[in-house]
Amino acid sequence: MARVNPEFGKEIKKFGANEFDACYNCGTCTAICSLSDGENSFPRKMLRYTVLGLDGQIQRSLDPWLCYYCGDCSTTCPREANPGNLMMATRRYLIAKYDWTGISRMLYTSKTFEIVALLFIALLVLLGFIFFHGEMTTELTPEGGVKLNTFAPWQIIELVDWGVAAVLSSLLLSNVVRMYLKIVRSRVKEGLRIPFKLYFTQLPALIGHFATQRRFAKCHTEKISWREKLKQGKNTYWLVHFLLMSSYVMLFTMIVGFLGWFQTDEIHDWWHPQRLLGYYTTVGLIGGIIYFSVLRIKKKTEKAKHTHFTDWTFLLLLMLTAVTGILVHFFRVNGMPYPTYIMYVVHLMILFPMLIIEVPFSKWSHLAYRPLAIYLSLVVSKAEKLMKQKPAKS
Amino acid sequence: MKQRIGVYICHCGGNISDYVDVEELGKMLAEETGVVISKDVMFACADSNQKQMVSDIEEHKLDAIVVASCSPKLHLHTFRGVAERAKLNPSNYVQVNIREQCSWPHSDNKKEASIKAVGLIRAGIKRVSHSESLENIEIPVVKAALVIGAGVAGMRAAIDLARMGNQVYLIEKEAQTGGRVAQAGSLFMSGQSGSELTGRLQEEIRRHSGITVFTRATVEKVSGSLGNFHVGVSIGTGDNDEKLSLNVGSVLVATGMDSYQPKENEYAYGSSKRIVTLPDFDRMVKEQGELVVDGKKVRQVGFIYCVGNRQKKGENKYCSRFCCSAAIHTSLKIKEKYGDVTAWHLFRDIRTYGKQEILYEKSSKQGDIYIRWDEKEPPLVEAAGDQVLVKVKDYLTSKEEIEIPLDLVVLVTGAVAREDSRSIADVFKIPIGSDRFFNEIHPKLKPVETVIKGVYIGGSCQGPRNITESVESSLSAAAKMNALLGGGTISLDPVVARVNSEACTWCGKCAEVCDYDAIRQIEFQGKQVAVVNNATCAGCGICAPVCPPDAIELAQFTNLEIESMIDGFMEKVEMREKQQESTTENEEAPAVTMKEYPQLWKEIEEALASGPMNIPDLSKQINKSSDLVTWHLMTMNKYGIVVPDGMDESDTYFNYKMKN
Amino acid sequence: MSTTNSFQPKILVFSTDKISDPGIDQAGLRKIHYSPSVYVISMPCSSGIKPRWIMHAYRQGFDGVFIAADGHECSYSASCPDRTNDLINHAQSMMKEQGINPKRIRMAAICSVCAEPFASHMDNFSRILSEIGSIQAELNNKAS
Repeated sequence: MARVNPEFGKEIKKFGANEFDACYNCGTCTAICSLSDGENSFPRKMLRYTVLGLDGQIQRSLDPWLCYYCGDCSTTCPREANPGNLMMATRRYLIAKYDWTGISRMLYTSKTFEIVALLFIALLVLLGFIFFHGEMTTELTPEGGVKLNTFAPWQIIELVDWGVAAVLSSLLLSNVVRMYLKIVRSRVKEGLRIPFKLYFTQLPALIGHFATQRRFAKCHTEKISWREKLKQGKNTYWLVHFLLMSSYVMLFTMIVGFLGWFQTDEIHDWWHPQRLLGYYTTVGLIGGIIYFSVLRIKKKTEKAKHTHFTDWTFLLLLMLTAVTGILVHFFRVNGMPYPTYIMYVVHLMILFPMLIIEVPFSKWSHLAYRPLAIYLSLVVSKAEKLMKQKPAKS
Repeated sequence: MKQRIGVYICHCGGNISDYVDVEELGKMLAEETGVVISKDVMFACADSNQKQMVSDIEEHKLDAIVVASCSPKLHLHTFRGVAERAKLNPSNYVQVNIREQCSWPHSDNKKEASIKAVGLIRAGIKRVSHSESLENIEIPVVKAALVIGAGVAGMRAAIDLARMGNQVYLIEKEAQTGGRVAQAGSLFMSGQSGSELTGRLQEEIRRHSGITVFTRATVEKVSGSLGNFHVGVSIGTGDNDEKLSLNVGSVLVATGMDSYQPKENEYAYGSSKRIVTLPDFDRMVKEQGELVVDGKKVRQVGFIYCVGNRQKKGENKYCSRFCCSAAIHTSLKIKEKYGDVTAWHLFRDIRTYGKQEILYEKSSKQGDIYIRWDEKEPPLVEAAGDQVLVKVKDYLTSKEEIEIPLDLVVLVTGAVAREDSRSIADVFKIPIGSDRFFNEIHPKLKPVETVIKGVYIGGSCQGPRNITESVESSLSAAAKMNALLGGGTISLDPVVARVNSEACTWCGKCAEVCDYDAIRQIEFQGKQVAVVNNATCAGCGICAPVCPPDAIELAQFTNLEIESMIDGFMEKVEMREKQQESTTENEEAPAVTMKEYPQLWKEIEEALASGPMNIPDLSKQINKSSDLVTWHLMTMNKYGIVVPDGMDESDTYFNYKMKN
Repeated sequence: MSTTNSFQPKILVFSTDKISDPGIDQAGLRKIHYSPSVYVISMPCSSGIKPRWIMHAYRQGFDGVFIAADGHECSYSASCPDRTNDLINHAQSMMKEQGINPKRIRMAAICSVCAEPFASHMDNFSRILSEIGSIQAELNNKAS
């Protein structure tokens, strides 16, 4: 027996779903969705849960994470109930539910809170520099570059990075655990037995999906070759997303793990891996951001039609991070000390708030939840299959 | 016995003559007893033939005619008209169906078709020879109508009857007119209130001098029949009843329905103020500026549909069909009036037929929640503190059982027959169904007529219906009544039952089986016999087979007529074989030989010899009406004598030319 | 019996003006063939058929009588199916006295569009009557 929450409709509307209550359950979305099969009616089940207010069912559901928003359901919906957007809103809702601090919910439901939070962290960064910055020397390195490591020694920054990374990952990890519990515990309570072994045998899927996001392929199920799809532009979205995502991961890894190698005063030759990596990630980030921004402005594809304010914040911050990063680089190699220092502070005033807000509490957390959901859905479905083969003795 | 019978056998332009040897039949049947003339004709129904028949009847002093052509459903009235124009009583005409029931179904066997046709026509000749000249039954009519029940249906019918110049008595059991609608809240689809609607009708009735209204009045007894009813009415309550007798020609029963009252504990009804019926809720919505029950604002409202209706096992098997629309209309209304209210519709099937579908569309788009349930698993309702918990299985999420905490549960109750419907039915002898609603004669063909001639039913006393449908039926009854009352007399079909008083021994069996209460017992020459009231007899003949001494029979269906038909079918038929010579000739000749042409075909042919022509020009040229020309030209086209020859110059008509 | 093959039973059909007769008409309209030894008498209501007419038909040589009734569609009386049933029972008891096979009478509801059902009823009834044989033989047997 599931108790309905009559206020749930209002709740989910705060996360950006506004049209779902026009649904009259015709099932067109299920018929068109490449994810639905005999047992799972995508995305109608989520829609029905939402209409009825079965929030418990939604919280234990993996479906929203398995959907990569091809938008077919929304374009074919005879009632314009926009199931695709509901799935997107449900993901935001779930992020807020996994987060135990409540910060996530506030970020998603209040613009003011988000802006204040970002400004607050930026201010902390600024204050940190005001009180603890190194010597602002105008002396240049032999190659004519700015001595950035004197102003902000990488050892100290890296320490701060580690501290922030530790906090962020523990927050994210605790949310991931909460996700795991919501999904697995309710099923175990209902009698599902998951052999421990499955968690290991399915591990490659977790890693594979994390690295490639190959799930996007399910959005286009035509039986044509990968190259053909690329030619027709059907894989462009995936490709740009991959560039952006890999750039971001590389940058993050370099900043947190190898800052001493990444933030040098020495100006390497243009072909040096440090500079190449820097350029790749900058191009990946800026290119990706421009691509996604143009999509969202043009609103031609279904998934780009409904932009939540958190989506814009995310794109904007990422763009500013990349631009300020490249400016730091430009000022530094051209031997402009003050612009370099100021830009560096600005760069971090954007980077830190973005990391702290987006990674555990907002849009970026999907980088953990998405692959985990695929992994868990494999684990659960395999376990269910095993149960069917060997019915439990009762 | 008729001695001067005329027989007309139709070719139907080949529809009959292609399979039945019509010509031969014409000659053969001329030899039948009593037959004076027997002819084969190209089109019996053609104007020219009708005229010929009239002159035949006059010239040969025919006393009966038989037309053997198509089904009587098509031309019975045509040839009755021919008989009347020739001053021959129409009951001395018999139609024989040799097309739909002979030439067409037996087109695979021409010889047998011809033999059968002979039998059919012979039976017709024999039947007509025993036919009597029947006169229509004329009954004087009192030009006044009684309408029982001053609800919307009754009031509306009373107004129309009065407008058409009839004296109308409108009687109402309650102290006020207006009926159930006067108490209703907002009505679908217009949204106006019930009292607004009834107020308008009441105002119109007040202004109309032709309508006399009696409130607190009930019908006590009824005597008389069609055209002249005496209705005893009792007015007032208790001891000082005023008795009054109304003399009317026709009666409309528009006594309406009751709203279903849930039984104690049906959906926990009665256990909480938060469980109400739809009419109760509508009144709440009409009166309350803010929707509050027991000091708590109502924000979640559940509607449970089909309460007391569509019971597979219970008494009320029918669907009341207005309740879905009414409930959805109310849910739109509360959203509009109170804003932040969520409506949960727990339905079995939504039947917002016709334009009412717009209501459902609106409601489902505005976010009302629809949950379907099956009669086997109805929702469980339980009052719990300041909430009502409703448990139901949601079929759309693989039968997940859900529990909905609601502030108010509305039981969408349908219609039931009035509690006193049986006593009203008894007074008028209107049959009632197992659902206790009044029965019409035929749901499709006679939807407002009852088996009691002159007594009509309208509105929801006949079955659940919405206001529009109620008014439609009562107005259709009013139109029927006006047609009855209008002429001062009524002319009734003479096909009624007749009693042979000599043979009758009064056993009462005929009266027992008569649904129309048309047979009474009277004294005749010192003994008890049955007598038929011509005004009320429906002419079904149900009384005839049950009479032990065979003393009652239906006009036109007497033993003599039917048994002679059977004799006619079975008389031996000897078809003259066609001569060998003519057979070979037929094979070489075109499908239709010249001698079969009516004169008109020759004229058409001559006209077309000069070149292609369209139908208007053709009809001008040969000076015949264009419909006649069309008829014959199409037949010639069918036989390949003429063919279309493109459009004419004005691009309006087809030209036709001779085939060769 | 060499005549068995060519024996075509004669059937008398009682139909009703408003409902079953239009159904039979439609069989013709659509050129659905049935035995040409079928003859139809149309009545207002099937409950007005007298058993004596049925007996008269047998005596005159009809091999079977078919009542195409309105069933519950009858516009005259809700009791029509019962009444029609009663008169058939009555006719059957009379037939029994005369030694006539009770299978020689049949009833079915024929609606106003029941063209095919009517034709197939006629085919079936013809077959059954062919198996039973001619009424003449039956009446002769009784006489002898």
